[in-house]
Amino acid sequence: MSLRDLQEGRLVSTPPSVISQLKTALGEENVSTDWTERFMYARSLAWPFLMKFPDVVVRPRSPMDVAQILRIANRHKVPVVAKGGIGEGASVPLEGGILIDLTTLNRIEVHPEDKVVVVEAGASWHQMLADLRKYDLTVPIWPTYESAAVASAAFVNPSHGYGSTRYGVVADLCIGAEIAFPNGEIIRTGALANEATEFGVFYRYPNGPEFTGLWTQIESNFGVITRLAFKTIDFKKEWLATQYFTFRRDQLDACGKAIFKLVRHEIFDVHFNDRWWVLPAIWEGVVKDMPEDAWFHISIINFGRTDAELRAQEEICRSVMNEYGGKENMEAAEKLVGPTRWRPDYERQPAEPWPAWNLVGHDSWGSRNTRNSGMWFTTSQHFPYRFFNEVYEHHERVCKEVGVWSERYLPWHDSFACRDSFKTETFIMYNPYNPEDMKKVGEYLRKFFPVIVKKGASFHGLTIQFHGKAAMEKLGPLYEWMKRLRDMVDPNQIMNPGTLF
Amino acid sequence: MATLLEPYKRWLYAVDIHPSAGCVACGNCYGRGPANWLADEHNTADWKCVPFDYYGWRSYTPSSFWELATKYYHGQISIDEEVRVRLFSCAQCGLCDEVCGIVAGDQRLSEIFRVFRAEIYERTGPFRGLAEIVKNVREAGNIYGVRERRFWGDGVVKPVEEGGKNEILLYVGDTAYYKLPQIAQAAANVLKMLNVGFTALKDEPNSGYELEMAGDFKGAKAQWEKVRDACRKNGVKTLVCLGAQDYHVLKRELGGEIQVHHITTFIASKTKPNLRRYTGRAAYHDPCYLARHAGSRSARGARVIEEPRRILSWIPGLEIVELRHKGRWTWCVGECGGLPWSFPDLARWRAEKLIMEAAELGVDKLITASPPELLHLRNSLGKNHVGLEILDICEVLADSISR
Repeated sequence: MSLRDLQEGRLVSTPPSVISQLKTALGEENVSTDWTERFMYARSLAWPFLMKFPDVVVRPRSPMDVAQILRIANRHKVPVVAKGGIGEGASVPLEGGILIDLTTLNRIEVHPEDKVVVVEAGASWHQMLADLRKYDLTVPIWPTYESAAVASAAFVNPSHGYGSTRYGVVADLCIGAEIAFPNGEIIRTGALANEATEFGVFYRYPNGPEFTGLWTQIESNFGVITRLAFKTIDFKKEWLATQYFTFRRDQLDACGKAIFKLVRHEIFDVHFNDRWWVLPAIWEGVVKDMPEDAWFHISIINFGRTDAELRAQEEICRSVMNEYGGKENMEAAEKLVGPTRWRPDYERQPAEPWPAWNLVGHDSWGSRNTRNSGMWFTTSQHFPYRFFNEVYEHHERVCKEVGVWSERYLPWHDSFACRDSFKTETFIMYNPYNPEDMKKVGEYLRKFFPVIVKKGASFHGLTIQFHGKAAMEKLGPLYEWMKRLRDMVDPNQIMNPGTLF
Repeated sequence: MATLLEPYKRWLYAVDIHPSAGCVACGNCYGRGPANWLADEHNTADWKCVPFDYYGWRSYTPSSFWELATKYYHGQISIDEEVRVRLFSCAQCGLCDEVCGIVAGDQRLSEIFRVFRAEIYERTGPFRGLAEIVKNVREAGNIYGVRERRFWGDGVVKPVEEGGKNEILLYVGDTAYYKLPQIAQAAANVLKMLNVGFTALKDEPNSGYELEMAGDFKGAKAQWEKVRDACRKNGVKTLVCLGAQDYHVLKRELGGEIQVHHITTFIASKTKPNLRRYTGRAAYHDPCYLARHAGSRSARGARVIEEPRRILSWIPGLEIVELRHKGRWTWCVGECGGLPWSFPDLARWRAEKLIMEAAELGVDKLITASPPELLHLRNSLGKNHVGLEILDICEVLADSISR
């Protein structure tokens, strides 16, 4: 359906009786069929060309509302998708139907005595981190997406972020979930299953098989996550310090080995970019002291609770980087990431503080690169460290083949060295209104994914419409078992059809 | 199709230029968390956009306004009532300019919405109650439609005289002129106490701010040209504005020719006078057009944040308590963008939220520095907070000046 069709009110397949039942259940003010709403909720970061519109957008005010919505949808066999604050493609309603805006479920309860935080599905991850700071606590994975990113999406994807080098992905720190199924049933798993007891929410394995992991990467299939519980650790920002190293293009192998060594040392965060990523910062004069031949860029965040601990980590990083031929760059650390050492006046400087944390804020790379090049097209995949060179070269080869290996498209890598895998995001910047660019992006997509799918990559925000059915079929009998599970909890197959099955 | 948006196409994914960018749908302008969770002072925008705060739907966000403008620019949508409602719900408070860093240089994100409103106005006419403003300015020369002008400064200030000494002109704006003359008089008294020689216009023209918000750019231009012509005719070199919005528009448009000050920046540039003790606890609310716009076309281009606080710190005994939403992260009270005329419920709700925040701080006074904002706050003051006095900074200063 074109946007013009949407604006002119054509093609709504959800029966009016369903919409009126939703209004009765949720209140008129929480149900919208306005075309501007259907349009806005169809948008996704990095996938603006995949435009499929829901028929109706609804806002639950409680987990019970979610159950009610699902019950109505199930009774009438209307497709449902749940969406957090942004959308990365998986929440695009491929078959119309009902879109649930989860961001109205945003309660956050901090339990400092148990170092646990319980959040509703649509709670902003940034707000949760801000609330935890009041208690000097954190969930030590800080996705670089914006304040709109919500807890359930971070869990489902599962998201990585700063801290992933030591702590893995968000789902690794989740200790419990609550999920609503199409029949209106709500169950709690892991620590949340223990919530009604006197001991409460404290441990992921409450007795019997633990089911929380079942709901990762569901992408609105099976049911809708309504609440989550996470374990926290002690945290103060004064405990952070950054470092920055560069390598030449002919040092790709050494660079990969240096990163993997830091992962084994359990450094808090190691981040990999290439020169394309930093070019706009050079063009805009943000960093001046960058060697001409610096191609690979490693930014490091150390997290130590004492000065001695921070110094020891810095020494480890410096020694590893020196061993593999990296060059340290303090200016780039300060200007592009954060303070090399905390000082009380840091946030009173004219530039925005913590530029790497604030993706589309002033002085951040996200804003800078966008205004110098255009919209993001992103891929996001996990693979073993030993394939570091191969994936980089594959991306470069495909970019050259499709004609986007240039400053015009800034085809950069933005990669998180995660605890258990290397998680790379490839970017191409393009103009979504330029047919030539769209053709190139499509070609990139068709050439980049099949090779790494075949090799066995795991994806962040996986859906078969982007990654191909082979990405799921590699699971063999497990994929068949998933279908049987889906048929059991969602016999009418209303939950985000077309995305996993 | 020719459109007023053409000069902004660099931010609308125009295909005939490079680089050309636009909204990436990151959601930071409406996400219900701080833009940067790790920062303290720079970042208290936990609720960010006036209409989104009220309606909670994603079509009422800067991201939506931007995307609708982009789609319109590319001919993919037309202007209908939904588009009109969304764009005119924007308060033009500029908070999105603080959150989103994509648009840079001599332009700012909120300006794209302002210009799209003008496009909508040109094609479909004035929106809701804004029609009344347009009519009033056209017919009576002021937003309130007052036809019989009574000079606010009678007995207080010398009106401008041709050939007289008119180097400094106090520009009070429609609200102080017609609704709150006591604030204009207080400002005049403060200037006199500071030994500033100044005059005022008996036939002061409207600044054009409200017309600009209604989308009537031609009408707005005619208004600020009237102010410019009056300044030229009378040899005015410095214009001192009481209203934050008037200050923004007049500084932006006339700043190259005339020195344009807000009353607070002008007073702050003077030597601290002797002031009488003034007891009480007060909160100062930063008007959006001082803290975020301040006469600049670019985001973060200019701010008036420190000067009002400096002036208030001169007053012995006055304890200033900071609101949570302050400085560059100040909360729009719902007076900007013509909201009281186009979305009165939303405008009142927003003002009530600020009043609640001030009341919770336990202050007895809420001080601000823009008469239109003050009038809106006073009109919105509920029964529950009658103990909270809402004052203009000039009233507080005038009251403290030793006699």
